[in-house]
Amino acid sequence: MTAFTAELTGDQEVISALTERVTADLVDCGIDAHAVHHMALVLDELLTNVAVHGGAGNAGVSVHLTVSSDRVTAEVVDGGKMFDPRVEFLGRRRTAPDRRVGIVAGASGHGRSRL
Amino acid sequence: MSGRANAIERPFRSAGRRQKRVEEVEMELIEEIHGRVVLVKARGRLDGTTSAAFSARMEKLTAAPQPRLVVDFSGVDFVSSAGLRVVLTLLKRVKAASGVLALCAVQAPVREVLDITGFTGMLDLHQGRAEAMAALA
Repeated sequence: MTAFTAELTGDQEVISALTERVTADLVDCGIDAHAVHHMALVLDELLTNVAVHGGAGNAGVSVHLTVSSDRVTAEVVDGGKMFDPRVEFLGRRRTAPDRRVGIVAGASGHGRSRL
Repeated sequence: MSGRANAIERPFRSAGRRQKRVEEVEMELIEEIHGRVVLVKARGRLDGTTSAAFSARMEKLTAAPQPRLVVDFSGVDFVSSAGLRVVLTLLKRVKAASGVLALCAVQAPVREVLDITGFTGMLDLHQGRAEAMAALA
């Protein structure tokens, strides 16, 4: 079931308010407090990165949480600009793009993360 | 400023709960002087929104030589990497001034963050306020 859907800008206060609301809503759904805290932390860090490094302050971000019997899934889609820090700081890409956290990046420049 | 104004005009959509205004996100800091020790009771979130104000307040409280500061974290339920950064800055500042910084009554979820990030090994942590005050007195 869908527990939470939000569209927001990358403003820091909005991010704080969002993670507080996610926490309250997931607790209301009966999710373990420890897991809820982890989800709030990941969302806060991810959205802060989008705002600070993705330049998405005004580009908009959507957050969609789904609660199932054995997991909570969060999908974050942002309109921030993409960049590869290995290219920026090292001058060239040394390894293949990192997909371990399930980040799906499209050629359009939008980022999509599933947690 | 356009981002913030935009956010207020577009409140979050969430079924069945009261809309939370962005202005409600804040951190409360209450300070007490106990001899040569300054005790700060913190309440709320220490994150990207509140970390700058927290840092500025702590900077004032540690301006004297050899500052002795206890921060009671019993009311702090969330610390992000932005919060960790200002705690580290505070620790460096206090140490550079030959002072002492102690944290006490850290909630379990926040303690987990301190453990994972290695902050536990750098900080002087105490179970309760009384122990921290006694250690720094």
